Amino acid sequence: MEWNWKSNSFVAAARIAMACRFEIIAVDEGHVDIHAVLERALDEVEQLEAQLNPFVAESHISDINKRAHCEPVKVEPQLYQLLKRAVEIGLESGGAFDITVGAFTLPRKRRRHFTSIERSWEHFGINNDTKPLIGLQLLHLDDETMTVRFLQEGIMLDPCGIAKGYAVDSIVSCLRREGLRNFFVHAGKSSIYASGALPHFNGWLVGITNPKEPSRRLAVLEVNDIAIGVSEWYDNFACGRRLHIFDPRTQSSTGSQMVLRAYAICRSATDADALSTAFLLLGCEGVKTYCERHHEVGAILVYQSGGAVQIKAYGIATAFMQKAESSSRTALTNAPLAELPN
Amino acid sequence: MPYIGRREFVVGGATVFTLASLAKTEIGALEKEKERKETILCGVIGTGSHGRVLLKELMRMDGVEIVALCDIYQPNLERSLKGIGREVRSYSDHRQMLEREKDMQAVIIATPTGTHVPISIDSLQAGKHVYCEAPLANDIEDCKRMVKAAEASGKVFQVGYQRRFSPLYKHALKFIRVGALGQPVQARAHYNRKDSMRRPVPDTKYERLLNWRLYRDTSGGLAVEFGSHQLDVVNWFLGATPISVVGNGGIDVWKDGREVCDNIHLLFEYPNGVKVTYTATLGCSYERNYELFLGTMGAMWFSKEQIGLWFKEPDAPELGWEIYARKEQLGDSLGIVLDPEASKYVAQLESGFKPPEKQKPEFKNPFYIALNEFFECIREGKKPACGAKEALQSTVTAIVANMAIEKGERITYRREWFEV
Repeated sequence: MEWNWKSNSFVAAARIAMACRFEIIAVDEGHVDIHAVLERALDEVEQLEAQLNPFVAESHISDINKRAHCEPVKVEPQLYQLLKRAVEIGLESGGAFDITVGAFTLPRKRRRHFTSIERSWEHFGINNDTKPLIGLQLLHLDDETMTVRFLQEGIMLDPCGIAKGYAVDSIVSCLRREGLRNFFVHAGKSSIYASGALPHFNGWLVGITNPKEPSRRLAVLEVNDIAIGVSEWYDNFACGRRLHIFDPRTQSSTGSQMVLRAYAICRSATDADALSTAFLLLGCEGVKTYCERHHEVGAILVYQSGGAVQIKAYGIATAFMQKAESSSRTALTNAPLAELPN
Repeated sequence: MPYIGRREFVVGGATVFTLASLAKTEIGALEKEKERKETILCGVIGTGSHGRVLLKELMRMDGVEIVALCDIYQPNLERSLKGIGREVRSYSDHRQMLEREKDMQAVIIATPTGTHVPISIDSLQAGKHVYCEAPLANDIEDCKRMVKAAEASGKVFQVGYQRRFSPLYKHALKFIRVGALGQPVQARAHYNRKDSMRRPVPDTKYERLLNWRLYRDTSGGLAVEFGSHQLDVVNWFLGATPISVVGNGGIDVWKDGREVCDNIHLLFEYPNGVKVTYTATLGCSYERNYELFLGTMGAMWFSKEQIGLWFKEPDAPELGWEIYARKEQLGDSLGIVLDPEASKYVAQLESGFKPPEKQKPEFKNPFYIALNEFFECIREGKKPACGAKEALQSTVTAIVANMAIEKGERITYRREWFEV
């Protein structure tokens, strides 16, 4: 069986947003306006970026970051629900994922735009008088008025750890509303949703590469109607590899780094995106405990042990890994397969 | 109570207050200020993609309550109702909505361009204040009807040329007005996007309704739909309307049965020899959209309504504060970042290096600012910054440009097109 991404069996569309490439690949099942459906779904991402981008002054998040320490800031209902979910995940993960890390992370991420890190801090309102703070207890969400308030100055929201997943979920809703069933969405290959299946398969195929040797594949997952979030310590930035994970619990970017890469698997791409960051920091024991408490969640950790790279699945991910092991090697080799990340 | 700056607190009140009590005091004052704001009941007509963008801004505003939504296309209406997350009355006919919603004071119109005039006039005649999305119409006479109806109504009528409300553009205009660019010589603007602009239709009977942007009788094409926003900035910054236009265009990329061009090129002549170029394509997204103003003393570049850079000629006079300003490289040129807040900070530094006084943070989103200004105009009986007359000039500039493309000839603008 010969498969080719470029064959007529698929329709694809892509757009740059949230500093990465969003792509949708859909099985062409005769929908009259399929390309238009994909384009309009990608519009959702642009609208969300305008709302969630903490680096542009016009976004809702920037507005919250600027004003919420002086007054309760009214928030649009869907964004309010996202913030609530982020807080829930933060509490469930024992603070390993924390949306209030902005005062620490945003100036660092914007560093290259300024002559010094101090100028970048200043740009975000952090100076000698304002100590950067982290803490979900300093964030007050009021359900009745749908307002956000920071209880102290120095708190900022950084939605970068959850925004791509949220955008992927929005795309999925859009595509389903238009009647599409079999499609694959990813945001920079770090946040994906696999809906339905490839023709002749039971799902979409996702490859897990070895972080130390990217050309080597450690496993292949066959997934359907599931989201996967991926986190690793470094990202491939324009100016090279950059340490981009910040541990809110220790307020530093230097963890044990024993876990090289973490995959979170669940029904929601929003949750998977946030959880993958948390899983990277929680380590093997922490992830095991989390998955035991949350039966709808799975994880795959790629970690270093005795000089060798190991891979281990937890929770619902165990079933996917088993499936991968029993799948026909030939079929997997020839099938269209997304490597996460590449 | 005046807004207490953080530094004032740190310097003068450390023995009395804690940070938390300061925040509480400030919050109390601001909440009282909000209570004083009269709540305006508002309806939204048109809940497609742009309507939803405006709804998101309306839902985070104090002193505004959305009471009704209207759309003739049920799926859009249902989606927006769901997004609001509370009960709101819904209509499929704007006349019915205007008739039944007696207490509704204002309407936001985000419908296809061809319907702006009838819906706006009906709304004004029903005694509602109107915020109508740009452009005004696809036809010069319709634009004039709208201006007349707005003037006769005595109601606030604002048009959504949102760049007019952007702090960035307003900040840059101050420099342009005092001659910082010297003699204006050229302006360029473009809108680039790789996108068919097609909307999926569940049934062919909805094709013209949903894909109104693709057909000649419902759309003025790229020049009117997108160009008019950017040409509005050109008219506004140059303080003039064009003398003539020549253009060409074609359906070069999306040969899907559409009637309007997806690739256009326009050349305008403005007073005092200023040449203006406008291009738009749906075949390539390179550089998205920008506006560029060139003068004998420098240039100003605005990208995606978010970034503004000022490039000074070597012989341009020194203003002093540039040395403090943040700069960014664009190709070979180093530009001064046009940041309204940075300039405030520099002005404070220059006035004797006093510690910067903390300002109440301002909203930056142009849609939010435009809508907020509309509601402030209603509350205070003010005239909006972009009313029917200002919008008439920009819409007519674009409509005639589209005519130049369709006819393939140079057209000289007539004075009476811009006058009512």
